[in-house]
Amino acid sequence: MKKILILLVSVLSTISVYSQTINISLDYAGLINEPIQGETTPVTDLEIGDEFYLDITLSNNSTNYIATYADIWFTFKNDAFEYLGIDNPNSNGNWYTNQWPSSYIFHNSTTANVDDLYGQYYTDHYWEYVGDENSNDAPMVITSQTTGELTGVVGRLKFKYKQVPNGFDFTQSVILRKASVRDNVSGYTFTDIKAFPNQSFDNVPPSTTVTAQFKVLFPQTLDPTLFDGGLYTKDLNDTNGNSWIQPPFAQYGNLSSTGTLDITQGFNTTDEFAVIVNWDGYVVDSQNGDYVISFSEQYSDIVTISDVALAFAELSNSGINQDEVGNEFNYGIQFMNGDVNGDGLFNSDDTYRLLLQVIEGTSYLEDSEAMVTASKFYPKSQYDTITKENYGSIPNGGTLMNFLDNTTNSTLQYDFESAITWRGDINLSHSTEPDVVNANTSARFVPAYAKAMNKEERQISTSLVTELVEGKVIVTITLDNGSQKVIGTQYKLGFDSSRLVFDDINFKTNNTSTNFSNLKGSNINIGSLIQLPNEFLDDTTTYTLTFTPKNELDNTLGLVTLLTTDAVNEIGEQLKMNIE
Amino acid sequence: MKKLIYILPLILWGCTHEIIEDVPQTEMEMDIFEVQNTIVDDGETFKVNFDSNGEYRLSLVDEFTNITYTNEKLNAKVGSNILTIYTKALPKGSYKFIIKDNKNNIVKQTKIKL
Repeated sequence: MKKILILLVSVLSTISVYSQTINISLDYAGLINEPIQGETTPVTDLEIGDEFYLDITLSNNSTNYIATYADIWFTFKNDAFEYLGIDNPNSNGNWYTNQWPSSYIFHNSTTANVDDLYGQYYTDHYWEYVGDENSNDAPMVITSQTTGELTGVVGRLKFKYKQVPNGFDFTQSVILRKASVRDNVSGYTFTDIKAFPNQSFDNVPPSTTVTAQFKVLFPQTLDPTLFDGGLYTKDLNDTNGNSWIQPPFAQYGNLSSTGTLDITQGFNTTDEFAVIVNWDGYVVDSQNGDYVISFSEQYSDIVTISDVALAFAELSNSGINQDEVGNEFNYGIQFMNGDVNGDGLFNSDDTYRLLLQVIEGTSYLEDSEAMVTASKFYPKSQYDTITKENYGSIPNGGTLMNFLDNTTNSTLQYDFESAITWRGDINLSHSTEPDVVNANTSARFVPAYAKAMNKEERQISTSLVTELVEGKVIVTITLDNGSQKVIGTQYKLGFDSSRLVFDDINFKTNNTSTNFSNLKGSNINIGSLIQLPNEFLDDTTTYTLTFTPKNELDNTLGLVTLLTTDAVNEIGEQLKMNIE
Repeated sequence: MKKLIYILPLILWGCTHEIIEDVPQTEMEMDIFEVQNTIVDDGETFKVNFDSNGEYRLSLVDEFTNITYTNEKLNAKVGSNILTIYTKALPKGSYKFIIKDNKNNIVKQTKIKL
């Protein structure tokens, strides 16, 4: 019996020696400077810029040994955190601390669990140097050798949240990697050291989960991918407050085919933001080589003869007493677009300038290659409130800016929508279609052809034929008006200027029409407009252009082409010309 | 001495000018109506055979939008006609190349890519 007792004591003693467990935990412990003394800000309220404590709590279940030495290793994501140092809550010890650049990756031991800090420390873990660009984690060590016992909260790590891209991965932002703990008094090394209960700190500041998308409501007549843009904020270093710069992490790129732009990166709910959208015009053509469409070329498709005709119609249709407005325009934005000289009024001066823009290519734009002089953006909600009565109070200048209302803090998903419209786009052919509530619909709105319901009846025909006649290239354009009472036509021709020289044009049209042609590089813009009532362009309308070849030719196939066309009837409806 | 007699003709042969026969180059225009989806470059020539003299209309029609970008009125002779296609003024893309006679009948059709 005595032997049995001795054996039992011996076994228990052995067991107690080999079960000296140390638990080390990483615990959030509030802001370094709490706004209310004595209270701890919940971890879920932490935000970018906050400085906070992560406590190192050490518990020892041994009655035989005390921890007097600890060598604890972490890694932390230094893109997300700034390490501010360590506070020592115990008066009888000092923490040595050091950190390394985030150029290493910690590879766990193959024989120890991740939370087995002793096993990780003493077996085959290793650090691999991979360079800063391939590692997110900075190694860090804290070491203390005290005269007293290390127990309870033994160290208070201080961190600060840095600005990070939205959507940043905060998993294991700080994590315990390995540890060695000793009782230096007894010369005992603890062999069971666990990360428990918290091995890592993974909190995600709510603002970093915000997403934001911007969308321009392009009409189908515009290709959104030809535009680019990005998120901008006011430059706080500019004392005048007029400069805008991209915030950190913000991107700049082409809009998607649906007109969207992901502006999540750099976005927050506190700063002042705008999205700038501009003309890019870059076309990727893998087969034939990339090329660029100039803005003025795009704009020449936006403002055409049908806009001019509609503008004239609105001005001339002022009722019996000549004191009415809005008999042809149904939307306030049409008056705003018609005010091309920007004097706050839509009048004959504007229609004259519009006509010059089309027939002579003499632009009223300050810079015909700068989209900012022609484009206008409005939040969709504002755009739909513009009426014929209130349009005078709405800003009408050209802009690339889309100011964002990002002050709703209760949402983490922002979706912004902007309407796009243009100076001179009277028929809104290339503008977002307004959806005006309670609009005064006394006028019959004439939508552009692309938005028309009566497309079938709004089609006419035209033809371009080239031929070689006595050494000259003769181009004949004819019109088949069908049943339409056509008052305006416009053709944009392209020709091979390396082989041809444009000589002249002969118009065979209604005698009352204003005919025009202007040559711009290798394009020729031609057409006619009738402003007298009951006068039309019929199927005898013919435009004959003459070119002189620079070298002798045998035939003319492809030398002159029809690029775009436009036509308008007596009630201001834009017509589609089927080219035969 | 005997060896020199053997070598001498070789030396003399080595000093003569090389005569290169000038082979006449014949331009081989293809008939693009016999193939489909020919990739055409600016200024390329092609051959078209017509069954009769007369006026024909050559059209380039966008394959997808059906827009006719250009037509040429051509007086062709019976048999082989060599024609040139000019592409600088045409948008890149895929086109139906159609030839109609003066009664508006399609006599030839193919597809080309610019």
